[in-house]
Amino acid sequence: MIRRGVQRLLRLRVRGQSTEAEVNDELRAHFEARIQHFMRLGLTEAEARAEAQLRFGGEDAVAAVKQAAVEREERLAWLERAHALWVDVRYGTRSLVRDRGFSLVVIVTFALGIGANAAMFGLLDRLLLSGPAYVQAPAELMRVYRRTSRPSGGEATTSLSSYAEYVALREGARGFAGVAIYDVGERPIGRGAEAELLRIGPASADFFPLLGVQPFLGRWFDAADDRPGAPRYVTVLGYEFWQSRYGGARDVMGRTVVISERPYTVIGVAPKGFTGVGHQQVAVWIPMSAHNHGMSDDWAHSMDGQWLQIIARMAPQSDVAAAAEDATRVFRASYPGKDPVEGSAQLLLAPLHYNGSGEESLEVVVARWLFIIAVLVLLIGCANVANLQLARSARQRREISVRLALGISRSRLVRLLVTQSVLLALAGGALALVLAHWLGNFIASVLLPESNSSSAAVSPRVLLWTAVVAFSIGIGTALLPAFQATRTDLNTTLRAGARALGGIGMRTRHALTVVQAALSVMLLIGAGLFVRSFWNVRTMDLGFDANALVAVAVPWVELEELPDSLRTPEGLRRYAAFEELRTRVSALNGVQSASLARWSPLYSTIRHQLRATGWDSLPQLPGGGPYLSAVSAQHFATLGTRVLRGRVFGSADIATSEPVAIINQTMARTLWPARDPLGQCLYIGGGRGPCFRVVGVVEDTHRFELREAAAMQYYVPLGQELPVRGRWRLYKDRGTEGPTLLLRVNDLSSDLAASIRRAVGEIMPNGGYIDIIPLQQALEPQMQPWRLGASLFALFGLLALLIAAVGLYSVIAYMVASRRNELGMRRALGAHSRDLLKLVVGRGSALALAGIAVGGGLAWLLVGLLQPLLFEATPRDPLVFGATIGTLLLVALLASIGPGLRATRIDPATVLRTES
Amino acid sequence: MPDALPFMKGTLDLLVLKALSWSPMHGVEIITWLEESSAGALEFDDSAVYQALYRMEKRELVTADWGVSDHNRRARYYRLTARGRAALQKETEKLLQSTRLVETILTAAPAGRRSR
Repeated sequence: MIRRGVQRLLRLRVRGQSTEAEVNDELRAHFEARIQHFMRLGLTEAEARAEAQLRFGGEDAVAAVKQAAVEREERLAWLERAHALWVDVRYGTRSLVRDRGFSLVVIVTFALGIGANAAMFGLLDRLLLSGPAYVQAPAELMRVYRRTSRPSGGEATTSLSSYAEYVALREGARGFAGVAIYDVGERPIGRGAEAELLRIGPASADFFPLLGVQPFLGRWFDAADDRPGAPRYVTVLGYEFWQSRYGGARDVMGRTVVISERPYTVIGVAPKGFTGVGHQQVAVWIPMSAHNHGMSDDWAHSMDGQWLQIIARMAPQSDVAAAAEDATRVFRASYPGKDPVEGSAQLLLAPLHYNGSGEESLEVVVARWLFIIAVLVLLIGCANVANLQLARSARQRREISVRLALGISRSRLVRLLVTQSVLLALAGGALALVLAHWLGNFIASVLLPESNSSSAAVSPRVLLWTAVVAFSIGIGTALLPAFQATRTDLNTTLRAGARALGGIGMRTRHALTVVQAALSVMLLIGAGLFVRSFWNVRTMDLGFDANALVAVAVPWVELEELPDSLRTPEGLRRYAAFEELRTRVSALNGVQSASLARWSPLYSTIRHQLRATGWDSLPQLPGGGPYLSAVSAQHFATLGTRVLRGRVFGSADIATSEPVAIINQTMARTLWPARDPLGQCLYIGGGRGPCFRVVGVVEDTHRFELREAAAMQYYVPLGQELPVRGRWRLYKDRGTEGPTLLLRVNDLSSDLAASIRRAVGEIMPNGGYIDIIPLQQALEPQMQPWRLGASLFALFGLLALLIAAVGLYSVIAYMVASRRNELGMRRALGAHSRDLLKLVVGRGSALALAGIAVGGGLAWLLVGLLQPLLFEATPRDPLVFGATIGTLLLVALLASIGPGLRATRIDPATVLRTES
Repeated sequence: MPDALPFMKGTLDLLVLKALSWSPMHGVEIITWLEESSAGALEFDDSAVYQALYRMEKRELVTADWGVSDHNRRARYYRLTARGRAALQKETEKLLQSTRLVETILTAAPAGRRSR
């Protein structure tokens, strides 16, 4: 039985009548019948007509009937479309199930392509598009940067700001709806042996309203909690910390948490997954005033201590450039110091995902590249699917011709093919979600290891994206084959049967194969460059050997009034205690050497005013500085920093001996390019300090980053820095005011850690938490983007190669199958196996070579774009290009050798029989 | 002739379904059937019947085809679908039930005074 919908469809199409005309017809028939009815009852024609009109209803009755008819038609038309789709879907599914092998390959190809794509979209969405969790309108939030430029040239841009700068902006800047300041850092939480080093989130009270986030329990701290000299310290627990430490107990309010040895009262719990403006989990949120306690007394007013981060929300309709200009004006007007460079600094604004030096963070750049790569992989997959579909529709040519001959419309045929393709893409998409979930979690764990794992890799937005992508490529990959299929010349195909299929759509298929090969080449070259970069990162010379190097932050027992007390014999006595500690620890089993350093790599740097022989004002280098470290005699040996000239400090270089200094290579080159640096003088501090005689030159060491501009660094013996007066500026600080104990160990076992803690405890009984960090671990997060880039680029490159190999194989195999007769003839006419093999493999190699030429050429042109991501690797690296080309050729050979062998096994007798 | 009774939209739909349960009919046949079986006691506009038909066609309770009438004229014939037949049965039961309930309440003896 034909479905009613189909009936209607046909009838309406045939008559081509509008709804209105149909209603008119029906009503005309109604009135005729009604008039006759009344006339039979004895009315005159005029009376009957009037009665029929009367009975029909009021003036708008006809309009109401027509309206009902229109509504009916709309609904029925919709039903018909749904039914037609259902028919197509059922037919398509049956046909795809019959063609199982084809369907499976296509679904897997789609799943890989879409899955990679969805995972990358998810990552990008998380890092860039949707912003950190709970942050309202993240696009309105800006980080505030300060750019200083020296008259002698050179610029430095940093997000590190002073509290006073925040106050000035909050009070005076007009372009902002609000300003807040925050910091990130790790502090011991808990008491004694239970203490654990966890991430804290110091923030000003206006931080939370600025983001627009509500607490899960209790309240955020307010301005009264966050003011210098507040009667008690308060804290808001991170949801995850609350769960793990307090089991989610509701009566946590009012309890005490010990953070950095000080008691804090719990007043609230943050919502689940709230990470501020970053992506890392925060254990406790504390007021800025509590965080800054113990800094120099004037932390709230001085612009010299710059270690905090300012964010601002743009006022409605305010222009970023104008707001930055206004902020610059406010900053300069409020700058209290005399440093003309700082005083004329320019304030800049950049989105949340920018890093500390005002550039897009590496994570985001890598994620964006990976997304592009994932799109390329998807395109390769699509080319492959289009290719397979072409082959399939060539196989189905006879069936299609029969259908066309039986009168199925071409548009309907196209619809059938597109439906099948969309079905495959949707199946692939569903499978892709599984992949995306897995890949997304993996990526998040590599790129954002400390981030909140509770947020799912497949968010609703990812789901939507996947659906859109699946639909688009489902339709996209079907169009070319559908077009080819419907262009069939019925007569030839019907007559020729299944044999004469060779050459149909072959040119298109070859082109698609070349495109695939070309894209794969490009991806593999990218992958190669990334792997090289990662290798360079792993093996780079930091100026110290981070492997097996351990930093122990020794508590500087409640010496908060440090700067003054240190200048007294008491300070020296403490240094003696540190030296005692160093000696004792260096004697521990498993410790190779130990040294003490104030302001050491990956910990903190400090800048004092400095003059030098021949220089009244030192030139500014892009990396900032010059940076001072005060170190004990064993420092360079322990760190593995090479000495280039002169000597290192010895045991005779003590606080009271002749002031001496060691400078780094960059400083030597910058200050005394033509002279011998040894014997030159450095004057540290603002006043007329003594001459620190340069006694040695060492190689540059990295301060915090794997990638940072060179800066001048100088070292003085530990203790000699104590009498230095004058203004200083402290940058990034992990440790305490006191020296850090640096150890080179064989292996940091828990036993060794316990012995170290015990040794420290014996000498400094009230020391509290002792933070022991392998420096390699501190560097690890910086390596992640490269590691991720290298591994995913390589993964995607291999995936692309695999897909391209399958594509090439299918084309060559198809060629052999469709040219069976020709190959058999050749055989019969005396061709050797070798000739046939050469013919087939030659075709495969030719396609691969064409792809290599196109892809290699494009890569050669475009690879410069990757430059900012590469780590000391030339983009046009001949090794990478060569290896890629070799790999692709090898794969092409492998992919075509199978069909080639099959060609040699064609039996000429069979072929000749079937041909006749 | 008794006073004409106005009635609700849903009831008309139900009556039209009932009419079609005998055989396929065109609009005028349905109207005439309704008039005759109620002995003219029902008051409705002819147009309301067409609206009811279209509404039910939309809900796939009835379906329509053009045919030729007894008087050799083209007319649009309506016929119940399976879904329409089921709806007729279900709605009839519902209506009867509520009618009986209303009847029970309205015809009950006046409530006497209650004592404790």
